[in-house]
Amino acid sequence: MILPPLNPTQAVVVNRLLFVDDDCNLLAALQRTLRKRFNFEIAVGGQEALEILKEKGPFAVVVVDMNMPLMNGVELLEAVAAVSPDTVRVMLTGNADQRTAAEAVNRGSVFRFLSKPCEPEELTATLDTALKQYELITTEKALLNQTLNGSLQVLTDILAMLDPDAFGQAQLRRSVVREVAVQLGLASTWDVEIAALLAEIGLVTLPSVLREKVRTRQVLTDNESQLVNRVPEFSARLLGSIPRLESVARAVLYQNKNYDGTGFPSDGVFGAEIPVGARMLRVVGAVVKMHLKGIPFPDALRAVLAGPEHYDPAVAQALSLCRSVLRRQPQAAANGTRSVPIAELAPGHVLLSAIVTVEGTVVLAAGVTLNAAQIQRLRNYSSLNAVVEPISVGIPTANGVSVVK
Amino acid sequence: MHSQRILFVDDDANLLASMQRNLRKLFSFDTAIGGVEALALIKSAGPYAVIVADMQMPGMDGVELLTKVSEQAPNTVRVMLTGNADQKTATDAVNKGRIFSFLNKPCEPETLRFTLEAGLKQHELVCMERELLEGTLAGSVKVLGEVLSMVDPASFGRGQKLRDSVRVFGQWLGMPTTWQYEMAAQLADIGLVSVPPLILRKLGQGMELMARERDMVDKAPQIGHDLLVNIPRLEIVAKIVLYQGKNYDGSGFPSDKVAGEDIPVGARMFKILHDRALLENEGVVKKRAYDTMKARLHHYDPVLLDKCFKCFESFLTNAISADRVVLPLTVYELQPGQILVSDINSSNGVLLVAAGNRLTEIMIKRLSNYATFDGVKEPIYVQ
Repeated sequence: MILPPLNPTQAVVVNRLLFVDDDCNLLAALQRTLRKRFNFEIAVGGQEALEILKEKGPFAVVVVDMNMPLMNGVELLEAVAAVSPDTVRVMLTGNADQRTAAEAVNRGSVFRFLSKPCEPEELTATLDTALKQYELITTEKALLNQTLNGSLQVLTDILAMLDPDAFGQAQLRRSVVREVAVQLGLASTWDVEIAALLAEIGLVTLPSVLREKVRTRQVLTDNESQLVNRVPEFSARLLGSIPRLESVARAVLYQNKNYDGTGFPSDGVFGAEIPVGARMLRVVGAVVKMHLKGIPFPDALRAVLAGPEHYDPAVAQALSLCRSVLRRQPQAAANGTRSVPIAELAPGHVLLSAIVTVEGTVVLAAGVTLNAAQIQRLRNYSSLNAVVEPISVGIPTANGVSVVK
Repeated sequence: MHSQRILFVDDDANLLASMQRNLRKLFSFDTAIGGVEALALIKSAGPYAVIVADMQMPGMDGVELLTKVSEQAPNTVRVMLTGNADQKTATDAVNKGRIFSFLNKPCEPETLRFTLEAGLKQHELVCMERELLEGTLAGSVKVLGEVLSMVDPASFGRGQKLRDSVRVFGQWLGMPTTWQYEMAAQLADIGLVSVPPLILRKLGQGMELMARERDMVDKAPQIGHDLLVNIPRLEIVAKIVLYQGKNYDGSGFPSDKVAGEDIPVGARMFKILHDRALLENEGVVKKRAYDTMKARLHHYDPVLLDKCFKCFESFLTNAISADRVVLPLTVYELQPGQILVSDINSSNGVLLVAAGNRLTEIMIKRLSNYATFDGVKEPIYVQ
């Protein structure tokens, strides 16, 4: 079983260029002049270029000659656009007539033209601009996937320590949601991941007495349950004011909405009109909750699928195809596992049961993947002899999480 | 949201008029006759997403205009319209005016439309980074920072006040952007989660800490730094968090050789604002605060210290001021933006929001939820 990485960092492309021509001499000359300034590969002809793209890609910039036998520049750029859409495309051409230019722009989304023969200065200037363009294009993804997601992960990890109730399930919910999103073929996952992390943030607006009643499953008064039902609305309101998180806020608002249109909020929205992020949260939230009570994922999913029309069948189907999710060990089912003292904990270890202080306060909830701060916190606690040790953990191995024996 | 507007510049009024007829349904745009008018328009009605300039204009030619535009409005995407795209014009325009693309005169409507759409898209790309960092990222961290301050007001209560002060101070100093400093202010204390609550309570009550306990608290900035350092683009934020308590002479945590100007400017600002806020809480303000801080030799960047007292003559941002009326209100009368003069406690004595915080919508929501059930001690004193 493979644990998904906590902070998916995409392959970093540092200034890599691919030069494609049918003329080996020209390529060799280019390599001599440019290899000090740029990090680049060469390919003789379109077929070789596509192979190199597949093996060594992604490239930041690809420069192709227009006139090549078998596959011309426009055809090659069209293929490049399909397999590597972010790569910036530059066309080198001896015959830049109107038709070639229009074709290259319209079909191959060319960024710049270079005319043959090309002055070295113009060439390097163009390559610099193209590299900068690549940076621009990839900035959004990097910012959303790494900076934004990374910051929110750190903060929710901290909140999971201070308020295990509201944030303790966030980490697991997020990694399951990401896999479901990939399975569903969604264009981006950052927004549903953030929705999964912050879905229950509105809980912090509830009075602690009420939260304690919810946690211990006491009977609530009408007034109280009304307030509890509105938690998704409080969460959504918190997120609604953040630029570009509008869709995240909407997914969070509808997280408890049933597929048949019942549930909160009580409006006419149902079925496919419910935001896809919300439909994912509905299924994943239910399954993760059961899982954290010790029910294996496949059983939890079966129970969910057997239930009434609460869940989007397409999302449930996608979840049933997420093999790495289904193979996860249920945390509470790890009976008979051996345990480690706090001094031996390392980042990446998964808690199989909650860590509690000698007074019985929960310090960290079961299912949490430990990070450096959490370990430091535990060490600090332990130096005051304040935590019940040893601690049972799952340790990630090459094949995923294995339970310490 | 960023601008979607296009500015067309030519010396030929007829051409501009016909452009306007053809394109006004597709794009939102203005026209200017000549470079001088264009620059004036950018000043009064800018920023524009895209500017299209004719190469050959009397007085100021296209290259000259676009060069000026690239200085005044660097995010505006520049397109050149030209009848004579010889090599020199092209290189000039690219190297000096840093243009995005060329259009040949006469220009097919199709090509024009395509180029303008590509230009708008390019502008969106250029603005994206700023929007994401200063809008989405800073906004999200602000919300979570507020949640932290509610969940644990004793450890995280000061974040908001320092964030607001560091923004005002940074802008006053003429810094082009302050989001990193604001974020650092908000995240400065996250390392404290590694410290058991018992010790934090002792710290909050001003009790003597044992050496081992003191050590835990002192190392908190390192933990905060380590949590942030692997997040791309938060490198500066992580550094400020690490050096937040470092003295100007190099003493203090972390014990390395970094001193003086080598300490990140954000950390130097932060230390001054933080210590001044502590004095403010004790009622030491204005000249007395200045004298007290001045007397702590080598703790602060002397230039920044003086500037801090020029920027905030009497109080930091969100300070409780003697000059403004204090209102006693019930929970239901509270408004976002009001500043708390005293702590808000629930009826059973739990601290809900600390004094000195500016009320936000979510804080008020939480207070009204509390008021419905537990009860909140009223009146609440705000300014």
